[in-house]
Amino acid sequence: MKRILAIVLAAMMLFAVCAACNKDSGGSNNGGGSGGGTNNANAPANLDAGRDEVTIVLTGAAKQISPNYRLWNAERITAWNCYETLLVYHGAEPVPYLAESWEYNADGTQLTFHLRKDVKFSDGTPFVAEDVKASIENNKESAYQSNYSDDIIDIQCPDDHTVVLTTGDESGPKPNALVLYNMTWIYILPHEKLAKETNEWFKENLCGTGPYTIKNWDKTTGATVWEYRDDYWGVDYWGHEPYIKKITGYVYEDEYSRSIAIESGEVEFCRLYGESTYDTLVQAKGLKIEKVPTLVTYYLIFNTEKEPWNNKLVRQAASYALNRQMILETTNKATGVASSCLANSMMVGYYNDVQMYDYNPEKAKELLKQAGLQTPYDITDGTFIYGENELHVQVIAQNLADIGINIQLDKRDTSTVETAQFNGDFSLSLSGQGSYGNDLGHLSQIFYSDKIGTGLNWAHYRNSEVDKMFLDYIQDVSDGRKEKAHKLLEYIQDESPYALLFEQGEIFVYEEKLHCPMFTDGIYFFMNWYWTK
Amino acid sequence: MIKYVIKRILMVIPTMLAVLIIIFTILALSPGNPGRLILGSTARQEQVDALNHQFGVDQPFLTRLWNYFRDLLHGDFGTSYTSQTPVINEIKGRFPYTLKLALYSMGLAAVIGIALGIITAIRQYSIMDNVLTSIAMILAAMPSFFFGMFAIYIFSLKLGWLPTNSSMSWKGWILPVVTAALNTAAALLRLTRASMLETIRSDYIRTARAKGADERTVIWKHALRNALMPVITSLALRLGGMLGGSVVVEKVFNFPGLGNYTVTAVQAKDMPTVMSSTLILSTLFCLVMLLVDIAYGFIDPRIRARYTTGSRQRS
Repeated sequence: MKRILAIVLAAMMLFAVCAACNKDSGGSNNGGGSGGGTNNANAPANLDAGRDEVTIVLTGAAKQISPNYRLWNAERITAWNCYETLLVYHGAEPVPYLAESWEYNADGTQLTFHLRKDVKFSDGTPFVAEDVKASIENNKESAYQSNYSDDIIDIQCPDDHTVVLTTGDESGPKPNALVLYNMTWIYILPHEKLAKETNEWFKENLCGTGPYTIKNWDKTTGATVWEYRDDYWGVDYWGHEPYIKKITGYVYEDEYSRSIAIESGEVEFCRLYGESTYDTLVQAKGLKIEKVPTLVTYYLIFNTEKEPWNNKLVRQAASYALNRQMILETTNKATGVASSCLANSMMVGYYNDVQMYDYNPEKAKELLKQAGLQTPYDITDGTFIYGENELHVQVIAQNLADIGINIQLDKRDTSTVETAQFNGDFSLSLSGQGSYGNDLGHLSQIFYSDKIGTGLNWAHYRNSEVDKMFLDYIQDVSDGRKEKAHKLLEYIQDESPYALLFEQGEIFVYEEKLHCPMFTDGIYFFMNWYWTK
Repeated sequence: MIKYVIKRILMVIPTMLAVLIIIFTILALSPGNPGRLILGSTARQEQVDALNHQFGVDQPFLTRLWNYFRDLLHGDFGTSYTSQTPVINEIKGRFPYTLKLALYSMGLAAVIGIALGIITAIRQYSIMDNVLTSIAMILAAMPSFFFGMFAIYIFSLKLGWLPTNSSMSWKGWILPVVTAALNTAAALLRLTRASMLETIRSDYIRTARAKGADERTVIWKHALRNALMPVITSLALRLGGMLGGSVVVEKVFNFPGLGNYTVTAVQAKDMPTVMSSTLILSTLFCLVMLLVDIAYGFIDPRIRARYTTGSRQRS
């Protein structure tokens, strides 16, 4: 008995010693560090120069680090901070990055980029025009990213710092204003390495122009360490040397463990990916919660080939009947923004003076009368098919029932929902929450008549006038496209083959002393980050 | 005895074959489109079709089954749909974590469960016996995810003593190991106690005491060896299960083990990963059971005697 008691007491003491070693929040420096930022003439006044490390949450382990493959959380962070593109978009305006400037030729079929001359890759090779050419060609081969380079039909390099892209399709050169935005997703890789190595090499090895490189990468646990590279070209571009030199990422796969990690101080920056712990984190001390807008939207899809949705007035009525705020309350209270404009508010080509569909059941009923629809109306040609988001579906079905339209709900496996959407075997459905791009022209994917059954025109909406308007808008690279965007948006808002439900934002939680600006879609650059006092 | 071992090993093969065919058939017949799942809803159909073709999912069922077994025999476990990396590399990376978690937690459970089980059996009806068996009952009934989340809440969030993430440091292993061990320790405590109580009431134990053997010899040399038979079986069954990956513990603690990996693969309809993980799990389970049976032969002379060459002794 005495011996057992002694053993138990010894175990307790050992445990206490281990636990008392320190409250180590995993990799961050708590005031100490490797020396902080260097001489930085433009340093913010409240900079805490003694802290130059950050610990962040990763939502999944990176399995590869090539920017031309599937980019999920950890891979995206690597792409943003270790690779660079010719330009970036901060809001609606393009900002030069590896390209200093660009211009179109007279007929808009060629886009010429003038490249920076002081850029080097992490292996020391200088950045030249051939790198851009090789990167675009490599992107074309990617199953995951090739839609960004599809519209580039020719690439010429008249000199080492000039690239001329010819845009068009299989029928020949055509102007395409979307290519400029698409270039923000084509990361530049070194052409010599692309010629010498396979794509498999880039999955395992990093060679970019970006300020950071991967110091350590555990493929099993996903723990990743990024460090600033001292030979980075862009100190003048950013206006300062980096304040954060080391970033350590740990994987937390679910929202609960992410929220515990940020609340306990185990990590210092977290993308939440969910809302169930939002209310708890809002009350936590020492943390800041930031909601960042994204280009992600979520639509109700009307099958315009079936009754009653083949009638524009009925579609408009349904859109007025939707209580979007109630839909948000079910699952996206913190991250969603109710909207009825088919264009995301962050898009180029968005205007807020077009017809909107604010919740108005009386107006909806009026429109149904105008359409000649006798209510109550039971939809017999098709059902409301869905795979997930049952709560949204129930609210929508109830809203429609309130104006006299009744529809049968039909829950299915997600993949069979997609098949039915392609084949038109439905009356109503929901799109996945996705981003189509930052320009109104990108919405052509869900409107073009030739995308019915093969692409993303889930509404099976056939309108040659809309096809022409989209094409005209996309092929206009001048300032005149703004007016075209306005007209186009007015038209599709009126036609309403889809009803936008809400725009999806992202929630980030981080220590309040961390200054970490984020851009649309939650993109962030570690070069912008610093600790404050 | 050797004949017995060989026979048991050979029986593993048809078992594995049946498991693989059943799982492959279920996965192949279930609706799913890996290309769309990976590329997302905004990808073009041509891209999706190209990726599906790359994965071979557009081929007939029997062709796919044949290709799978052919590749398996060449040591090719396939490429994960989601990560596009060879599945065997992922399993090789994750299995050591699962193995270590299983061994540490089963070791801890065995030490705690068996030791306390012996004590409670020897001290039957004492206060210690009542307290320990009550605690064991509660822990056995408590789901491991509940204890895990509770432990995270107390030790990580409130006290800040231990990290939740095992990849941070060795301290990150404490909570998952203890969580995985407690349920088993509680079960082992109760089983050991019951088994010991039955054994120490046997005639031969009374005889040993009557012959003047001291209590330590009676318990450790005579009673324990026989009492441990069902305990070993239980421990082995649980170890076999743990080697397949304790999904709940791995999910709660973001543990990079095989269980977590397999569940994620099932959700993503990542067929090569699910098949390979199932193969590994089934093989391990069969091997563990085989080792238990062999161990029985060495622990229990009655079983060993039954299989000695040239004779089949009846008990």
